[in-house]
Amino acid sequence: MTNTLEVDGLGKVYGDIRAVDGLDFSVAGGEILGLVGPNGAGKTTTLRCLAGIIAPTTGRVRIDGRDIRSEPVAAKRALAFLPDEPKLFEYLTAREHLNLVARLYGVDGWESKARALLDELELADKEDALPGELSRGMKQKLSIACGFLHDPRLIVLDEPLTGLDPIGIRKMKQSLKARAAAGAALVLSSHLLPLVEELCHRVLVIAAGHAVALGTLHDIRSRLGAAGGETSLEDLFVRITAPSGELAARSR
Amino acid sequence: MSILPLIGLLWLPSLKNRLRAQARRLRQPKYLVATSMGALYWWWYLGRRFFGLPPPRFEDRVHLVVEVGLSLLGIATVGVYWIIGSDRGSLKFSEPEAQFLFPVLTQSQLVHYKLLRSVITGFAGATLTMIVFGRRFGHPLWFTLGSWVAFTTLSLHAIGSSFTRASLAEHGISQAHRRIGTLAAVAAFGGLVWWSLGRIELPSPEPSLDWVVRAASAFDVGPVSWVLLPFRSAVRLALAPDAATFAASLPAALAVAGLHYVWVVRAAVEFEEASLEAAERRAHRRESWNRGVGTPKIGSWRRAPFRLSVGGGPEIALAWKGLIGVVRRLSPWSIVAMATGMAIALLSLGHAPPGRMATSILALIALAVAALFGPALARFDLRHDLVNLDVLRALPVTGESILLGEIAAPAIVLAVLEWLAIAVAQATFMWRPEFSVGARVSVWLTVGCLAPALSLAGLMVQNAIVVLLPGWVPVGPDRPRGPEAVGLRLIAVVANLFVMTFALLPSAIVGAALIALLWTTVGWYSLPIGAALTAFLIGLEVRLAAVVLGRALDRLEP
Repeated sequence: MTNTLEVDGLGKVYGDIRAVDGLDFSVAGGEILGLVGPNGAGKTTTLRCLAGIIAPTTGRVRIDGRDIRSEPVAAKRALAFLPDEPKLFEYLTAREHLNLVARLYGVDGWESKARALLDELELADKEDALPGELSRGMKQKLSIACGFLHDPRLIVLDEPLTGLDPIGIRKMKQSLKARAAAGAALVLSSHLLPLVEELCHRVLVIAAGHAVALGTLHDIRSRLGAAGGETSLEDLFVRITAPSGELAARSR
Repeated sequence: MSILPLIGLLWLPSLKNRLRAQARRLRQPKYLVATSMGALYWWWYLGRRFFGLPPPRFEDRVHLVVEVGLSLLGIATVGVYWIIGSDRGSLKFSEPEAQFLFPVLTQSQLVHYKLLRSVITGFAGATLTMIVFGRRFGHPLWFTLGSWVAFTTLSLHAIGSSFTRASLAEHGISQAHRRIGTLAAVAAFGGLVWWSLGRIELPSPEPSLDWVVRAASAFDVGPVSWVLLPFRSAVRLALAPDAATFAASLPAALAVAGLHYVWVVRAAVEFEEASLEAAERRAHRRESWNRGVGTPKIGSWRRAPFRLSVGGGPEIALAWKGLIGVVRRLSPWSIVAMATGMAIALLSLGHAPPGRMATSILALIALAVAALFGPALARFDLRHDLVNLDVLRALPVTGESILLGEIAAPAIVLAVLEWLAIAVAQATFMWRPEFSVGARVSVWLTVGCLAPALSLAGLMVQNAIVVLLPGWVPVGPDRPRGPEAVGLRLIAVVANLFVMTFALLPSAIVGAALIALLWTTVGWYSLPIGAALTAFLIGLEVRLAAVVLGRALDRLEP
């Protein structure tokens, strides 16, 4: 299987702070990688490096074989980045957002695709609404529609379910699975561990900017010597990321 | 919970932390330089006014003119509140205030919390006004205290009128009806002033200060004096030369302020009741929208300026986005104002020379403002989109394309405004007979080439500041404030002038050389040819700047 995303030695330094340090991982087409870690672990910094929003201090990010630094436009054409807080242009309607995205990514026949996406995300009756007229969840859905319009090869999601209602969450999960099944690679960062457990083929756990575990849940359980096959990701997460003193206290 | 402890718990720590954060920024040389420059400027402008020799005091008879003039200014301010004020209550709370204060404070306390803030802001404004103007009129202390009462009263009027307008709107009285009512009241007052002025006898046939003093005395008697009375009470307090006059004027001024206070508190309650009804109506509407009935739509006149096809450069797409933003920012009133201005300009064509001359001068001023200050004012480019920088950075677009696309919309808008101003000036300007039609056309074509080019260069400089010094662009709570903000603006103005001079000089020299070369052959027609070359070269410089700055934008981290 070819890797859609390849990350080698990714590091990001802000002044004296090493936010991300030496991350190596790859994601193949059709695979969903879960990115988990405590607050301040470097998840969002990692995602922003993957999306080309910030430049890594060290290392390399390749999307669909193209380096995000040397070929940013080509690499970003294959990418969709969906931040946790939907950022939209306040004076463009939902339909105009999709029109803009279609132009920037060169999406032929965008109108039918856009209509299908708006239907799928239950935004069909909001296509002439401005972002200010949409609820938080609807904005999130519009942001998702914009991200999916150009059929990206890599989808990077930061807390994708924030603001969605239960039906929206269910549809979003189905949509993510469908896109992975269609061959897209997904990187999903979330604190909702059951979601990660349900959707992701592999999990990358980072703490203090370092990768502390990478693999399938089964692999991680085996490596930690977790008893039985039923140890949840939440339990594993606590064992991996909790400071050693705290862990000792918990075990007592 | 009382609101007074909130000052200790909320405002003082916030102020302390803000000052501490600003002090920390001084470790960075660029902020240190900016703050020093701002502080020096404040000292130069304000310090010498306060500590320097007092300026010559006005004659006593001028005091009457100033008192009446400031009172009329107060009336005009109140008129503006009622005419252009929005239909929403003006007590705006920040999200943290709403989250932390709403559950623990009563409605009355919330109103008082905001009023207290406007009273404190009024004191800051009064102190500043005293430093700038106060020593010309009277005692600094009485001027400060009097101005404080005046500003607080005006502020209360702004809040009270906003609640009343909101309440009227909730009761179905439209904005247009309210504005017509206000304009009728203003017209009635204007008629009263006209009638009062008509009753005075001018002291001399020649215009002089005596004319103005006599005109001001017309406001001392009759019905017009009754209308002016509440405004004069506060102004008189500020202009009091001594403690005795201040004490004598204080009861009337405080009574006016007190009545405003009662109005605000009562209007807030009425508004709250009306807004509860409105909230129910909005809930019904929202329910209808959710069912797919009556989804809010933008008016047809606010549709996109053109259809964006899939093929083509990203710059056009970003310009399209910017132009949509311009169209949707325009209120119907601004369009009416522009149409009225154009209508007046066209009507003046058939009228006497003074009207035509005034119109052409106004058009030329508008042209100069658009060309020189337009780039600083038309901020719907990267300065506006800086908050969306991470969205722009995630798009498959180079920094160069982003820059060109972002400045295209304001450049187009400014060019259209400039050409409109030129058209009006051209139609109304009274040329001397020795200028031929060819000469006149050449001059307007020259201006028509140079003005948009100048704006374009100015826009690139403004956006260059965003790219190279993003921390200087006022966005969000971390934006520069106080002397730092003043210093940054000064540095930006100086840098702008410096860059513009050096950027424009070579193009201007080349254009001027071409004009000189062609002058003997084609005469006046050499002007637009040289201007077109200059504009082309400026365009080329802007393009080159976009390449260089685009690379910097690619490296810029949100």
